[in-house]
Amino acid sequence: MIRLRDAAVLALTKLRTRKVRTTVTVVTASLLFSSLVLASLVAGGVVDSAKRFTAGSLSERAIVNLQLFPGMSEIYNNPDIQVRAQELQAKVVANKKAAAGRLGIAYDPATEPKPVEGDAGNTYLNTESLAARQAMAEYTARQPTAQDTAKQLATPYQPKAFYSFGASNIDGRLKQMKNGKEDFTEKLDVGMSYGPIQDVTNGWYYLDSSITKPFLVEQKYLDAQTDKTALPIIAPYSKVESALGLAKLSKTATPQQRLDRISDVRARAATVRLAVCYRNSVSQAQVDDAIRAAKEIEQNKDNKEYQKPSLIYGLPDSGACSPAPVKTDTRTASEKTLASKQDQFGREFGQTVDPAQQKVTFRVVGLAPDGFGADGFSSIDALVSMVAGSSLQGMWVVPQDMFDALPNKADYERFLPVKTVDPLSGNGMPPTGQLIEFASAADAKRFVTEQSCSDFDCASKPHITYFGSNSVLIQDIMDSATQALGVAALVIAAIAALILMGMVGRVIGDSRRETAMFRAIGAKRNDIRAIYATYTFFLSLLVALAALAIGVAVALWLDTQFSGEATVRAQLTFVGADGGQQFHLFGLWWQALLAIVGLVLFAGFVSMLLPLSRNLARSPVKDMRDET
Amino acid sequence: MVVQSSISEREVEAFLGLFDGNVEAATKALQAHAAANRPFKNPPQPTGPVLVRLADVKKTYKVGRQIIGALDGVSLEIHEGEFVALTGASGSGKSTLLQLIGGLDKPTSGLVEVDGHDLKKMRDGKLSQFRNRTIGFVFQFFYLQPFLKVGTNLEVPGMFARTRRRERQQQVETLAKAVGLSDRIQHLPRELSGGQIQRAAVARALLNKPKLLLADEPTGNLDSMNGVAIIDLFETIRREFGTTIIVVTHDPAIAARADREIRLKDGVLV
Repeated sequence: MIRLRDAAVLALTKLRTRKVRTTVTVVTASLLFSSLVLASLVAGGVVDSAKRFTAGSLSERAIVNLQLFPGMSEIYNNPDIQVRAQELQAKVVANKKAAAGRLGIAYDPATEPKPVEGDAGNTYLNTESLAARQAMAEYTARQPTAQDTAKQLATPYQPKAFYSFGASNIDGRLKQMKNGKEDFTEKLDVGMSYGPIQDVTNGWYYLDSSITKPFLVEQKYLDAQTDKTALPIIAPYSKVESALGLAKLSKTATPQQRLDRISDVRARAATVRLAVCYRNSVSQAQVDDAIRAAKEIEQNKDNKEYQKPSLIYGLPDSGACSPAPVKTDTRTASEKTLASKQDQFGREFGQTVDPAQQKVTFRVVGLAPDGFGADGFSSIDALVSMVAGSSLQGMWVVPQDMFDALPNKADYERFLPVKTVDPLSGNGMPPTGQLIEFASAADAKRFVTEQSCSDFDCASKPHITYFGSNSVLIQDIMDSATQALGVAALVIAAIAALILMGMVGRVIGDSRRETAMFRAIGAKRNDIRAIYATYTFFLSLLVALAALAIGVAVALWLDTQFSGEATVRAQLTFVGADGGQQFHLFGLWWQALLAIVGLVLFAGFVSMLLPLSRNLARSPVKDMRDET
Repeated sequence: MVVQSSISEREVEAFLGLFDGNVEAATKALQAHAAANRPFKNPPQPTGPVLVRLADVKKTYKVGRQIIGALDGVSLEIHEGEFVALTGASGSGKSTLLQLIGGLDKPTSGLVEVDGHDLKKMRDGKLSQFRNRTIGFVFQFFYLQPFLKVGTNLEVPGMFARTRRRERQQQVETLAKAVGLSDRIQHLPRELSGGQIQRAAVARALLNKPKLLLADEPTGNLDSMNGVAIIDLFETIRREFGTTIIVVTHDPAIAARADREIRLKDGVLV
C-alpha cells in the first residue's frame, strides 16, 4: 500500500479543493463538537476546583452517616408494648395508692392517664401516661443502637473507621443571651419541628476531630483564645458574621468585596463568644410564673379584692442564668407540709424534678458553610452546592477532641447525646447517627445503594446518606457528566458524521476522474482508501482542532465571567479552604477531551465509508470518459 | 520524395524498401507524406518479440436491456518497440481496445496478453501492480493534480510503486530533462502551457519505466504544433527507452508517423 507520507501529500490536495464548503463544514461540525468540549472543560473545572478546595480535608474521603428512624407506628401501635404498659400502669396505680396512704395525701386513680387509648383495632400508647413512657423506654433500650447497626452492616464493605455523630440532648430550653443577658420579655418559641438546626438554641452536634479539622480557623487564632472553659463550637458562617456585628453585604457587592469579607470573618471568628441560658422545664416554668405573676399583680394593682398568689417567684438575674428566686411565700404551715408531701410523692414516681439551669458560653473555633438558601440562590449556588452538598452545611458542631480537652467537661454532661433513640424527644434534632468511613467512594456508594432505606422502608432499615465528604458526589458528577456527555456525544457525532459525509462525499465525487487516473497508473483500491482515509483524518483533525479552540475560548470566557462569583460561593462553602484558592469553571478533563477528539475522527471515518465504497465501485474507464 | 496516394500496398512496401530498413529515413518520408495529408500504408511490422497479443477479443456492454458490442473478434499482435496508431471513427472501439490492453477493463471473451500475462486472469491487486510497473498511460485531459507541483505530479506513479522518494526525485529530474521541463518541476501545472502539461503527463507515464505506453488521444487538446511535438517526444522515447507505444488518435498525421496503423470500424479491424 502507498506510504503514509505519500498518502498525506495526495490527501492534502483534497483540502485545497472547495475551500468555502470545507470551511463551512469544518465550522458547522466543530461548533457541534465544541459544545461537548465546553461541557467537558466546565465539568473538569468544577470538579478540579472542588477537589482543590477540599484538598487534604474531606475530598478524598468517603464517609456516610447512618441513622435509625424507628417507625412511630411500630412503637405506638405495638401490642406488646401496650400490654407491657397496662402491666406497668397497674403497678403504678398500686404503688401510688400505697404511697398516698403512707404520706397521707389524696390520690384518685381515675386521674391517672390511661396508657393505651383508641378504639378496638386501632389502639395506641398515650405518651401522657408514665407507664406508657416507661414501656416505650424499655422497648427502645432493647433495640440495636446506630453504632451496633453500623458495625454489623458495614463490615462486609471493609470500613476504615467509625465515628460517633451525636446531637446534644436538650431536655429543656436554650435561649440566647444577647449581650450577655436573658430577655424575659421575649416569647419562647415552643413549637418544635424537624429540620436543619437554625440556631445554636436548637442544639449542636458532637463530631470526631478528623472530620471537623478542615473547618477550624487557623491555629494562631485558636491559640489566642484564653477562655478554655467555654464550649468550642464550629458555627455557620453567616451566624458568625452577624455575631461580629457585620451587616450582610448587598447583592451588588463585587466578588473581591465578598472575598475580603470572608477573610475578615475568618480572621476574627475566634473572637466571637455566644452565650445561651439553659433551663429545664421546671426552671422555665418558674420564670414563666414570675412573669405571669408580675403581670397579674400589675393588672390588679387597683383591685382591692384581688388576692396575690401565696407563692410568688421573682425574675432571676438576667446575666446569671440563675433560678427564679422566691419573692414571697405566704403559704400556711399546713399548705407547705402538703406541698412538701406532694413533692415527695412526685419524686417517688419520677414526676417531680428540681429546677435546673446553666449558662453555656461558646467560643467559635471554626466555620461551617451556611445551609441552602442562607444567602439567596443562584445557578452558581446550585453548581457549588452540588459539589459540596454533603459538607457540614448549616451545622453547629462541637469538635470531640476539643470537648474532651475541656477542664470543665463535666459541666456539659447533661448536653451529651443520648445513645438510643427517644421517640418522645421531638426537639428537631436527628437521632444519634454513626459515621462510617470507607476506603473508596465506590465502596461508600455500594454501601448506601445496598443498605439504605428508601422513603417507604425507613422504619425497618437505616437511613444512610453521604456525609462530610464530596468524593462520592464528585464521582457521581463525573459519572453523570460522562453519561450525559456520552449520550450527547452520540447524537452530535451522528449529526456531524452526516455533515462530514456531505463534504467528503462531494470531494470524493469530484475526484472520481482523478481516482480513475490513479487506478489507471497503478493505484490499488487500498491505495485509494488510504488517500481518502488520510484526507478524512485531516478534515476531522481540523474539525477537532476548531472544536477545541471554540470550546476552550468559550470556557475561558465563562471562567472570566463567573469564576469570581463561584470563588466567593466556594470560599463560603469550603470555609476551611485556603483563602487564596480560586474556583474555576475551566479544567482540562483529558479523558473526555481525548474521547471527543476520538469521536470526531470516528465520525469522519464513518462519513467516508459510503462515498468511498461508491467511488471504488465505479468503473475507472467510465469515469475517465466522462468529462463533465 | 513523395509517396503517391494511389499506389498499392505492395508498391508502398517496395517504396519503403528503398530506405534499406532505415526507419528514420522512412519516418521522415512518412512525415512528409502526412504533412501532405495523403493516405499511406504503414511500414512492415518489426520482428521483435510480441508484447501485446489479442486473440478473438470480444467486448460487449450492457446498457439497460440492450447489449452493445464494442469489439467483435479482434486479433492482433504488437511487438516490442513498435509504435502503433489505433484509428477509427468515434465508437469504433479503439478506446475500448486500448483499455483492454491497459488492463483497465476485461474482455467479454478472448485473450488479452501483455508481456506474457493473461490480463483476464489477473486479480485486481495484481492487475494494478502490473499496470503500475508495465504500462504507462497518457490521457487526452492530462489529469495532473492542480495543487501539486509538476515534480510531485511526476512522482505519483512512483508513490503507488512504493519507490523511495529520493529515487523518485532522481527519476523525475531525468525525465523532466528528457521532456524539456527541467526548469518547470517546481511550478504548478497552471503555470505551464498545454503542451508542457502534456509533456509532463508523458513524463509521469514513464516514471516506472514501463514497457508499454498507451496514449488515448494525447494531442486531442493541443494545437498542431504541440501535437507534433508530443509525437516527436514519443519517437524519442521509443528510441531512447525502447518503449512500445500505442496511440489512439483521430489524427491521420499522427497515424502516419506510427509504424503501423490499426484501423477499427464497428469493433472489427479493417
